[in-house]
Amino acid sequence: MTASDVRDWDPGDGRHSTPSTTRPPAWSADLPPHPTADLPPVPSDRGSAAPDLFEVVEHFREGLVVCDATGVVRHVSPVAERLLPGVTPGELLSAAGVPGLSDGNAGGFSYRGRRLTARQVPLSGARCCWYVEDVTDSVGRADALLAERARSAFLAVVGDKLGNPLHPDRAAAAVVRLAVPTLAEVAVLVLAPRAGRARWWRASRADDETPMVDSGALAAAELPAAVADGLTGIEPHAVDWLVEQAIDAGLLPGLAGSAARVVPLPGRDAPVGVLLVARRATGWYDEADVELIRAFTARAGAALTTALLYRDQAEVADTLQASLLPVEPAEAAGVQWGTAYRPAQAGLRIGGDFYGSHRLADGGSVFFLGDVSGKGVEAAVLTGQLRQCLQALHRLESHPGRLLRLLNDALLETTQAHGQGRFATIVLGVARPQRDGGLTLTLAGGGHLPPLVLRASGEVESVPLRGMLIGVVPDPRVGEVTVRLAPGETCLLYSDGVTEARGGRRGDEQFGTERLVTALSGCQRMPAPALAERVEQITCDWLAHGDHDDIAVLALRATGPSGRESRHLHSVPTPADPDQQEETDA
Amino acid sequence: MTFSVSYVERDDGGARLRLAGELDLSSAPELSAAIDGLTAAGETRVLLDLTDLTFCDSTGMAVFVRGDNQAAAAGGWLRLTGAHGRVERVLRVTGLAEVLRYEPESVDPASRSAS
Repeated sequence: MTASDVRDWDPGDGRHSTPSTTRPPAWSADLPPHPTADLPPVPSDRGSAAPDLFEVVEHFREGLVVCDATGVVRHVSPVAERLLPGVTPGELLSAAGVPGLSDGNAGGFSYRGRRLTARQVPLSGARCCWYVEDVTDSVGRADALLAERARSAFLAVVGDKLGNPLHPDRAAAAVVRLAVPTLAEVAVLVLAPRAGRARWWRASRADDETPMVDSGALAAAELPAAVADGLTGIEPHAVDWLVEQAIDAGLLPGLAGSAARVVPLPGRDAPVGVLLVARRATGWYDEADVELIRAFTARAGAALTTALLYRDQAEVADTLQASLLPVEPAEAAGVQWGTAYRPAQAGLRIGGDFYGSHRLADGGSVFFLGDVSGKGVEAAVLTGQLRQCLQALHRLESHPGRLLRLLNDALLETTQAHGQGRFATIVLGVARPQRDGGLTLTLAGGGHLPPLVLRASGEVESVPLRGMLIGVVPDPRVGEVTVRLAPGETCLLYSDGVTEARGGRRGDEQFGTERLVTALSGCQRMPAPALAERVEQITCDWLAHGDHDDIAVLALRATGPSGRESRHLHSVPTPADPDQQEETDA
Repeated sequence: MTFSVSYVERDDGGARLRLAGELDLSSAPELSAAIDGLTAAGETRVLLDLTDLTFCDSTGMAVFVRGDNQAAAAGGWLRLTGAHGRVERVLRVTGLAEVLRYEPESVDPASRSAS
């Protein structure tokens, strides 16, 4: 074969084929076999000034393997010798067993620990040339870059998904769900034990996209040693028995022989939990994997810590809130109670209005309804103080006027210490059952709206009760009034949230006492709970907008003799002996 | 209705704040600031003119009480005058009208609430 052959065959510039001129293998059939022991010589007719192109080619980054038409290797360039030590001149190329050179499909392949790419270029005379390049380093760099990108993308998704979860259970489930499949086939999150129990969440790889998540709890003593270590903040290195321990503890069912790691989730002081990851398919966790798991657990730990902190605070708030809610009046002889309570900030469930009652040793009841200046939590805290004061003070003083002065002194100390001008208005009374089934109410006024009385006739009276707000001056004027309730009559205490409710046709008109009186006229037959509910209902109906002041209603109805008799039937199953009955009445 | 506070000098040298509109949770801080401003300027006798005040809730009353407590601590007082309608009613029901009643040229009102 001569240089002219090459030129004749190749319609290009007559020197070398370029990658873009790769031909389909079918070309070999068109030409007869033309074996030659020699390499295609460099075209010599290019002129003496032309460089020795063949020598130049020998020093390409790509190695060259030239085969004749029968597939026998005829030339191996020095670079190719180094890259493909199994390829020997004079032997069939296919016999060398180099995966990428066996057919016409050029591309990347691995050979003896290197990443190579090869492309085949047809030459004249059915010969062909393989250009082989070592791309190990660039592929490695690209792989590292892709892996890093994948890790960053994964951590970005993790950060996004964990976001700001305020519910610890949901955060825990999200953590394990995100860990599968990137970090593990099975991921188990074990939270730091609370009251001796460690709760866990587990995500297992399922056939479809979404991993299966389940959860449970273990006694702290049953935790695998490596998990217990992890919870103290040590990332366990000796993980020999980890899988077996975890299987024994029921955390990794059916995963014998898998690779596993335990990584703590950083918390505020101690870890908030540990993540146990296990996988079989991709094998042992290398340092890069563990780094990724640590980056993941750092994010997961932060999310869980926030969620747990929020839960703790919510629990505290719930407990305090419950303690600030009005307590339903204590059951008392001859009295039917009715209450309604609607705080201005409904979501808060507490407000500045309060009511309650306590039984007195003499068979009577002390009852009260009041309103602390301001709204929300601060007001609610003061209502709590007032209720607690009354709970203690009524044991020492059952006279309403004197009890109210004691309460004023106690409150004054608090309000003056805070210097916010806080005060309360209150109606405080003592109800004593009478033999006829009626009630005698001794009322003391502390600057609150005077109570209303629903008479048996259907009339509604306003009790002429005056007085001064409490918590402002050391010796307030306290008004006192005694009211007699006949059986079936009701006394109604309410807060200004009722009468100051704004609404009506114009939207800003106050509900007012007159409308309340009108709305209650003729309601004398209503049981106390229904009456209190009615007051709340008509107030809310009046309101034009959603917002309103705290609303509280306390109704006491004289139940009459029938109510007392029914109590006796309940408390004394056998016919009562007269002496005992006398004692109960007293 | 919007709330406003304006300052008026009194003949006897004390300070008078004229309140107009509705005094509630949203407007109380404005009055608080005005009273604090007078206190900071050394004024210990503050008279609030409620003639144009159309509404006052417990938050507003708390500002009165706080102002009076502050003034009393400095040997002075805070008093109310001119209340009518709903405002007069709420001050009367709560007894605050009595605590903070302004009685010009009779007895020194500070003597009544002094402990």
